[in-house]
Formats: sequence, structure tokens, C-alpha cells
Amino acid sequence: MRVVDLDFFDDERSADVMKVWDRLKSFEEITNGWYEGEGWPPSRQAIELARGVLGRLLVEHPYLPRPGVFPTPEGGVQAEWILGKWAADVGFESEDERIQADATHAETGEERSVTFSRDEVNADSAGPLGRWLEELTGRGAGI
Amino acid sequence: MTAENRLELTAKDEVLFRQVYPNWLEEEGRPSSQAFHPWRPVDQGYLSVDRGSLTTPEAAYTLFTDEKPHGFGADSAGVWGLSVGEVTTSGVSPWEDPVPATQTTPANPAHALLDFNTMEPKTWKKTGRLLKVKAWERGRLYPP
Repeated sequence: MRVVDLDFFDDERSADVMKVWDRLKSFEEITNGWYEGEGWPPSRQAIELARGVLGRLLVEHPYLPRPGVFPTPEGGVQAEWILGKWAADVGFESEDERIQADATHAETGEERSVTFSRDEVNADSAGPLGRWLEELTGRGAGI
Repeated sequence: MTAENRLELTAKDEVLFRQVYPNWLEEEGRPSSQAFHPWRPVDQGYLSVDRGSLTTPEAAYTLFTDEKPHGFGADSAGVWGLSVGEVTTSGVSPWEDPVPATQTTPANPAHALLDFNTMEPKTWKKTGRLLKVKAWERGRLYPP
């Protein structure tokens, strides 16, 4: 069952997923030059990719909080978490086949970065991204 | 925009006010890290802030958002704060940068700049994440 195809579903995360989807839906109203005359609106591809991946991620990883979701001036979507002392961003860009994830530790400045292909992370499978984020919370393997 | 011939801010407890663009604030009050690092070519590696020793969050917000010529006519979802100490610890240099009045905009004697040019541009996003955490921990200063 594809999360991206569902409008409503029976899951404890449904409220969180709907909030993310509503937020992404609002990005369709953003116009060119939205930031003081600069900035591309998020592309349909970026919005759809974020919608599918974030929906799948929240359903499959109950320990992950709902991210903040924001447009980027490059026409993409950025999901952001604060996980303990880690600040993490995941970027969904329209022209990029990859999904970029970066995190910075607020006290030590340590950085972690990983790039996922759309074969690895998509609306049907967000496992690798979810495990990477859960490691930041201290719940994942190796922490 | 330049920090040349300006004085660097050194009072570590002084809070600097940063306006956050509406699209970069979620309804629960979470700002995006994108609001805390320069990204436009016109920014030239600087980020605008206002000095807490010279203005208040409310006055800074009003001046930023009021229509010209009484204000700068810009959009803001609110004011977040970063201390000079937090900024310098992150590798960013804060400088005073008072702005004189023009025919269309008012003076802003409290204006200051965060200079990211001390670091490689590829590190600016990382620094933005660090500064966002500090601002988020302090909470929105205006509107409360």
C-alpha cells in the first residue's frame, strides 16, 4: 500500500502525516520570487517526493517526531528536525535524483551527511533514511 | 552591504534580533535553518540583524515590517534572538552596521551584520543549523 496514494488511513501517525501533507499542499500557492523577489517555488516533483517519503517515514518510524517542512529558494523542499542535540535537514530537490541528509551536533559541531538514491528512499521505502535519523536520536543501531 | 570600517560586537551577552520570513516558519513556531545563514548572491555572505542593546524585538519587528517610508516594508513572521557569544562561538563575526535614512526608508541605527565570510561558503548551511538551534531554544521574542 503506497502512502503517497492515501488521503486517509488508520495509523497512529495519521495526524502528523496529514499536517505534513497540508503544509506541502500549501507550497503549491508559492509563486516565483517569493523571497523578496528571489526564489523558485517548490516544484511539483519535489513536493510529491517529499510527500511520499515523509509520509512513509513517519508511519514506519514512530519514534521520529514530525519535521518542520519548508520551501527552498532553489525550488525544493527541506524537512528539518531537532533530535536531541542534533539539527538535521533532508533536502528534496526537483532536478536531483538523490536525497541529501545532513546533521550537525549543536554542542560539538560534529557533522554527519549521507546521500540516498531514489531507489533506496522513496514513497514505498524510507528505511535507510529512517535508520539514519533514528541513530541521531540514540535509538538506532551503533549508538 | 559591507562590514568594513565598522566595529566588531564583543559584548557576548548582547542579543541580536533576526527576522524570519513567513514561509520559513511553521505554525508551531519552528523556524527553518535557512533563515540563519546567507544564501543570496546579494547577501555577499552577510546576514542582517538588529542589536538588542539599541532596540527591542517589538521595535525591530515594527521597523522591518511597516510600510515605507516609516519602515522597510518587508515581511516577517517574527523575531528570534542570538547572543553575540553564540554567534562568535559558531565562527561568525558580528559587526555594527547602522543604516542611514534614505528618501524611501527610515534610519536603522541598531542594524548589524553577521559576517559569514570568515568561513568557507560550503559550511554556511551547517552554521545555519547551529544558529537555528540556539534561536529555537530561546524562542520567538516577538510576537510573544
